[in-house]
Amino acid sequence: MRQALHIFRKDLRHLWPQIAIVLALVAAYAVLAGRTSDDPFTLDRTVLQTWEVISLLGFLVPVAYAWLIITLVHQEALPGSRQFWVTRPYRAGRLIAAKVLFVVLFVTVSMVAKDWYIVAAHGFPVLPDLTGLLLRLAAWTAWVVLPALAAGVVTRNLQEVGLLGAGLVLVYALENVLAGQPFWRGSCGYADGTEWIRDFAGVVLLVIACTAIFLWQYWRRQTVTARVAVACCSLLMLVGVPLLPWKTRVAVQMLMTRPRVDVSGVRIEPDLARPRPVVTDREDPPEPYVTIVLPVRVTGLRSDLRIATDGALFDLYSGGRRVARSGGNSPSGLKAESYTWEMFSLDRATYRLLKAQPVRIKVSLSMTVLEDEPAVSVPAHTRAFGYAGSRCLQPHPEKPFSPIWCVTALKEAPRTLVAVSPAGIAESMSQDGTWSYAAYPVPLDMSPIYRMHLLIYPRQDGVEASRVLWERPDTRIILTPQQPVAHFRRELEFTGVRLADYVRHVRAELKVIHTPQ
Amino acid sequence: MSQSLRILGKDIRRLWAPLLIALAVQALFVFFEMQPHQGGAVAGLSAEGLVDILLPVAWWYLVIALVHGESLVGERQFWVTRPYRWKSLLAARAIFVALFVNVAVLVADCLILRAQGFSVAAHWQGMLWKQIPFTIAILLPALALASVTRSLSQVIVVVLLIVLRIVVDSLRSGGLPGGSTAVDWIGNDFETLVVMVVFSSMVLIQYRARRTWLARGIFAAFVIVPGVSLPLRWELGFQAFVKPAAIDTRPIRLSFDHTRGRRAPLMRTPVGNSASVALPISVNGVPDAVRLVSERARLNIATDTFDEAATLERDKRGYWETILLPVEVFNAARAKLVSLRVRPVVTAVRETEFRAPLETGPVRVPFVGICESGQPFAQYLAVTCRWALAAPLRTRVHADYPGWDAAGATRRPNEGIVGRLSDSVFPADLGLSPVHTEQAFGLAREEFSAATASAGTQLVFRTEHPLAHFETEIEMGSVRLEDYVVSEPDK
Repeated sequence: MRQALHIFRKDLRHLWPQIAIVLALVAAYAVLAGRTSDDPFTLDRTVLQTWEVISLLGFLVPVAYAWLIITLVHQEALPGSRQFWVTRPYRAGRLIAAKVLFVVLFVTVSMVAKDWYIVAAHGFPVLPDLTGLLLRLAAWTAWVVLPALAAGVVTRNLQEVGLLGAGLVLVYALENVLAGQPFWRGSCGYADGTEWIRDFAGVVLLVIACTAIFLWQYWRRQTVTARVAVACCSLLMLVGVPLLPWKTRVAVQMLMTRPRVDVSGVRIEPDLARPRPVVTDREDPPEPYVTIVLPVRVTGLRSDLRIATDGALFDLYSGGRRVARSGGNSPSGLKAESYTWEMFSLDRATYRLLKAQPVRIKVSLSMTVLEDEPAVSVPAHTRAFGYAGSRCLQPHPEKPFSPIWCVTALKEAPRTLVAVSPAGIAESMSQDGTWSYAAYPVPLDMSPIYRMHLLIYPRQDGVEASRVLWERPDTRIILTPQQPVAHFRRELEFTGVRLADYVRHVRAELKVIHTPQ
Repeated sequence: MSQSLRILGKDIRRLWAPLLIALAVQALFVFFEMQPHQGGAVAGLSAEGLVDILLPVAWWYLVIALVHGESLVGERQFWVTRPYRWKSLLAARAIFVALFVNVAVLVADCLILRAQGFSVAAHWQGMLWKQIPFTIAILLPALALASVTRSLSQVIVVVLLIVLRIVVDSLRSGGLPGGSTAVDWIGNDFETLVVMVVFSSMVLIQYRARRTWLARGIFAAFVIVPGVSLPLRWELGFQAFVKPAAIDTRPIRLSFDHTRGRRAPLMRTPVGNSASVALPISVNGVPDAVRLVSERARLNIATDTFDEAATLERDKRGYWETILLPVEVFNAARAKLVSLRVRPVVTAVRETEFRAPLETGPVRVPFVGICESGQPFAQYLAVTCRWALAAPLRTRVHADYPGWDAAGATRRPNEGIVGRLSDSVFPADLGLSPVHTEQAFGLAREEFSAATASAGTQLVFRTEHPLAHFETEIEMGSVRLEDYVVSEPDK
């Protein structure tokens, strides 16, 4: 232990400028993030300026942490055989202990202190949400601390780390280009509730692989093996984890969650007999994709429940051969009577090829059943109110339909339906809050503060009438939290579909609105 | 020259890995920039966003690794004892950077411009000009920083210290926005010139004499000492020299108009530290079809002086000078009769108009670029514009439907602004991409319904062409600010 402390003190003396800079950056981030307004869309200049600096620091703080950790490891670089310390009585265990002590003191503690300060500065208690604090710490340790340690043990200097980092970003970017699927998005560009499984898989992979590489290299100093392990882990993390199919994620979700309602009787069927929506088969050159809307009907679902499509896979067959595949999701919860379609996108070339001939479409759906919890009702013109552990602010209650911001700390606000009473004021309900089905949805950004944006839409066919109703003193905003209560999968098949009959052009909507005039 | 080429060859062999990575990142950047853009920020941790960050980092890394190949700091490097001529060494560096960064960027710009529908032949001057601010603002600082440091770690320390200084400045700031003028480009270019002189002298000192502490001293002074800005009258004089005024501004007079009252109902904002006061202004001596605009003024109220983003604009009722006052100054003076002196920096503009259908594919808008409308989601129409190399002249965009000029909850004209009020004579701005895409205008909810319900609604683009610039003074005695305030923070 004495040797570990000795090495620790030596590192402290060597790296005090780096420590000072990193802690100053973290402190600056904490102070600025602690001062932010609950309404991030304010046009106040100083607030806007603060957001810009916060964004810059939000990027720089993790980078600075990684730099400090890598520099620390490089103090006794592990690759090569000509370092002075290799011939000294350094014990691997003590070297590791010294490095870990340093990281815990200057990285882990400062991470916790930053979160604690920001949460307290926003007026939320920390201790009741200690789980959130620890989950955030685990995630950031997996994303920044452990990869930095692994990168440090297989490199000699920062130049090598720079090359490694740039190479990884290139691989990631190429994977994006080739697979067309960024890491943080769902199967069709939108997040769905099972994404936390992908995040969790990434965290587990990083913890296991980076810890193993770190320990292996300290004990064995077999740099080539360790470098191969880093390359494999990076590829798995950058290419494998993002491509984790939603079907797998849904399967894991179904394994982990016990259904709270019986969904065995729920049937989803094609409803091709239903009158088709008004569509135009007009060519719109700017859009490279066309959207196909397939009518469906759901039966056997309790009337008080809603369903959301976590993932949908569409296989198109023509002449017994699969000719196209598309994916999509629609995580907004809908009641059975409103869930009347599933849609997917096709590239224009494929569409042109297939639009006139009958095709068979096999659809594989992964669904979640959502149950409404007791609603919270607040007068429409209330400036500030509390909801489900969050603090809500309507910055301009005097303005009709002005948005509401709700802020929570360390835990995301529940998925929430927004409606207005009396009925007839609002055109449609909006939804926000967490989309995650995780047992403890924790915000994983640099800041532990989570913001929910609640929108109220006026009636499209009577804006003035909506405005008059809004201004009545008895108008209330109804916020309904929703919980996922079951997940299930269904397969259905459409036969003899002529795609041209079911295409939806975005621009067509303009025309549809023109028609009644 | 042969020594320079030998050093260049050695550098290419030594730096093949970072060079390949930088070129690969450049290629990816070009790929992403050639795709159709819808404007706005890239959501999430996308590859495109990462490449935008990585590209300048890759250039910096390359330049720093290049210079550190023959480190200029210290006395114990091998090459100090060899017959290296400093001019050959510096020339080798310059050729390397020009070849692998400047030429690569030039080729990338050509590809991106073509893919986004702009003619390369029509923009060749701008593309070449862009290399100058790009080299001064991006490459020269890396070269200078590398010449006074020993390792990448030292560079990171310096960069983070500079970031900390910026952060501390932002923590201290809390004043009023400073505003801008159409002649700001002169001050900005002067600052670029200062950057060039400082960094070039650092590089020359190091390569010629290796007097590291002197070069570091110059750099530290440059970072720590606040920059000196050009006096406004110099900027106005220089502007008149490079582009003489198109109208005579001497007969133009601005005065306080007592006959008009408050411009709009008072709005209370939940946050903020300033009150906004719209003062009615009467304007005489302006030629027909010429409008005055201003976005900066010096304001004297009692003993206080503010240089701020006061705006001069015209609506149906006439001109308004909207000033900002710190809330404590406003509250101290709100009910009293106070005298004000406002010195706005005014630009006389002439407008041209272009019309396009509400639903439009890509259309060339004169003085702007290529604009198109789209409906990214229900009840929302977005008009995006893209332009090449230099920001366009400030252009106001609106949909011409009945009531557009009193729309929304604020009952003010629903219009978007693209471009900036600038009379720059240079054909290109500094930017990673030669093509910039921005949402120029949006129609949402009830405004969308109103615009689409009215047959024949058109998009109107009104571009402001600067004609002349001048500073004037408006004296206002006995003004009760409370009578003119349009927005103030809640108590």
